Amino acid sequence: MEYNLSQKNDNQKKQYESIIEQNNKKYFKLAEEIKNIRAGKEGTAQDRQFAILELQIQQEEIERDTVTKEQAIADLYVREMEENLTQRRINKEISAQEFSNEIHNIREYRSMISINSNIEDYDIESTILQMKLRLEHMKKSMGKVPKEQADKNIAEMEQTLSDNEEYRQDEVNELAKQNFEYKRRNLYYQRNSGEISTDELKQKLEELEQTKGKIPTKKEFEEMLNDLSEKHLEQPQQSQEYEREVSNRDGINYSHYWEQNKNQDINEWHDNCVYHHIQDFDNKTFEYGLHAPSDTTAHYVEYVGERLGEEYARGAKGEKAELARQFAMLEVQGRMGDFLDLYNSEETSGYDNPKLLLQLEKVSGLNIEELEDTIGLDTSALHQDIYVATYEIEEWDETLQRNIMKPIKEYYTRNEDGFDIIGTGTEYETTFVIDGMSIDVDTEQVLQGDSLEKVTQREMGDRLIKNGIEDSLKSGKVTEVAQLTDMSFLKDFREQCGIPETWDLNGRTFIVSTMNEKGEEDFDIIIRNDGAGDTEYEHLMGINATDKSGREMYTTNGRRIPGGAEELDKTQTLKEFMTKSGHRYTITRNAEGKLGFNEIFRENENIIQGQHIDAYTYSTDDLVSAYENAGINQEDLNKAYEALNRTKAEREQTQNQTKTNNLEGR
Amino acid sequence: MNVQTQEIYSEVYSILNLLGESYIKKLPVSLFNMIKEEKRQDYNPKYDSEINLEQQSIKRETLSMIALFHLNYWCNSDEEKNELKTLFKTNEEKHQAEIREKYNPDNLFKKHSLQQEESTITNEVAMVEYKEPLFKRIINKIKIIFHIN
Repeated sequence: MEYNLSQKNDNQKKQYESIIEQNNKKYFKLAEEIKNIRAGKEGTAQDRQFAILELQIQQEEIERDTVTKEQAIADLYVREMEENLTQRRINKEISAQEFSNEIHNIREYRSMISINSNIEDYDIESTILQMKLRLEHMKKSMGKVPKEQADKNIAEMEQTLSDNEEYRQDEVNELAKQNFEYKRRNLYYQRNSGEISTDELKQKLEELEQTKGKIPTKKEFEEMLNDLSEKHLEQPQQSQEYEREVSNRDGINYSHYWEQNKNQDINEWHDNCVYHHIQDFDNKTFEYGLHAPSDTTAHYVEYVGERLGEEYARGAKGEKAELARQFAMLEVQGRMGDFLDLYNSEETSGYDNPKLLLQLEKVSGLNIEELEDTIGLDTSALHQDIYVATYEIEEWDETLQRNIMKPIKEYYTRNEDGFDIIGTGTEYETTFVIDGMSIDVDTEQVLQGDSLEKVTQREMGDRLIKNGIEDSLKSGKVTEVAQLTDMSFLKDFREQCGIPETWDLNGRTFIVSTMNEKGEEDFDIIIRNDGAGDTEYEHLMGINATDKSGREMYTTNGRRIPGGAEELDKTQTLKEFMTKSGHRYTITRNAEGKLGFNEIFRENENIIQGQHIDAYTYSTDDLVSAYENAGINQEDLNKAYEALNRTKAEREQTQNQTKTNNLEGR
Repeated sequence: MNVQTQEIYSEVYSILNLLGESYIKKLPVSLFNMIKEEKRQDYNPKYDSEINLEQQSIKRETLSMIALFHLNYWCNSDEEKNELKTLFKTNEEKHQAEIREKYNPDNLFKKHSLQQEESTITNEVAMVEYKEPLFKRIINKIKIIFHIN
């Protein structure tokens, strides 16, 4: 939300904003250079990595300067608040008690954001130092600096890192202490001014004790700022009347087609890829590849697969984690390794025609009648847990005279040393190697036992994106993420946000919902930064949240009613935004409960109308899959209903008994 | 109220807090307060939002209660509600089929015969062995059709 500043403070703010804009341009330019180096083939991999690291360090320095300028702008607003509050006291518009409380609030808020900024600065400095350390190690190994000098530099940087960690912790402790005192003082003020009773104060103080030692969350900082801004800053007059032409649209429902692709049968041939390409996979595997042994493809693939497996297995436990790790190995092998294409019996590289892993499933054995009926054949290998990997690969089909996606299956058993392959199959024929013999069977004869556990490519891709967002934003767990897909809209949107032309938003712009440890939900519009060394997500620049939410609005949903008119959904805004250009947007939940992004084209005192922007939602671990996996049935629901009714009846009986006792004076 | 019910409410309360305000807000206030007041005060389980609910130590009754709330208060459209109802109905049918399979006297008799005949090495055993894979294949096919885990 924009607030008015005095002329002097506003001029200062514009100067800082101009510096931030220049910083952003420099940052984007460096990102382009990094992108070009990555895509180029000049020099060795080590030379390219060296050059990229140097540019990344420059990016972090720019980021550091931007953070200090943002802190300076925040400080201007705080200064304005203090000036306005002091003036109100002089004009006798507020009591001494209120003035005392508010001036404390403002000064303590300023102190806390300053400490928070120091913590951020330590974090950036640590990142820079770690990059410089890597650079120094590389210089040493490449002979660019004498060994003694390099060792000395490394020791100094490591000492600085260690010291910073200590200073950072001191700042965190101080911030936690100030946070606690701020809240405690305000609770006493609320009691003294009659807002809460002494009993309520006691309860809230007990609850506050539980949070001792915690620093304010991002949401808490926003709430403090909003609260102080509303009281002590002047808001510009905002016209309720708003009418704009909607931005361009492709008119193509990409999310619908992607959803359809996902639902194709992976056990039969299909027209389009079920595999959903995730840029994060490319970024991560590129980064891992820079450190991988390059002597053989197999070693390279193994290293990258292992690193990716750790990422996929994050947060998972037991069997799921093991499956996720193996999934990563097989996926990387299929995309980057060498393998035999079963459909044409040719050795193929994953770079030329990738074998795309869609699913890895653990089943309770296989049943193949032909093999079971073969006298003397030991089929016990098929009666243990079997791991079934299902892929798709692009192949020319002679009958259809076009390229289609054909399925490939691989069957594995598992022992102490890892996974052993025992069978591979196409859509028509599967070859098993059991009991020392290689046997071909019709694929349709291969029956799988019960499904015990499964991981899919969608799930792993979803996990990769969410890990990236959580690591970058640090604002809690990601509960939902949806990618904005309309390319024509994203061009207009980029201009509205004041982002340079070289910064293409296509394929990189998302809306996201997060939940912190307190269960507070928040929403944001973010962009994936492919220029940094590791995939990084950040709030999209040029668009900011307003203080409005929870308002009723009507928006399109992509469907049409008979007659051709667009169908409208009535919904509520979860969060509202405004771009630099003044365009207004909202995040809502659509009829299916998924996050939606809408452009407001009309707003007046009677109605808010918007047009949705196509967004593809990445799947979430949701409640429905929990019911499915646990087999929750109608009988379970009936029992739950009865339990609730019993409890309600017991409570009513107790209340009636208490009334009767009271009436009788007992 | 018995301890088990109180523990169910404790687990439900923890899950509701994990799901967050947007879910809690949709429940009737009296219902949420009832859960909060009737739960076991000294039992406050913490769940990991990274792990599927059904893989954590949650009572079946707890998940059932959450499913009941989902059906009644959290569905965003009739379509979503109908899909949930279909899921519960399908699970009910599978459950009933399993019970019938388990307690079907014919099957009990078959299993007993199979176990007896396995121990004798005769032509009769060969015939039973031939039947066994066929028997398993049919069951597996039924399970695959109905997606029974």
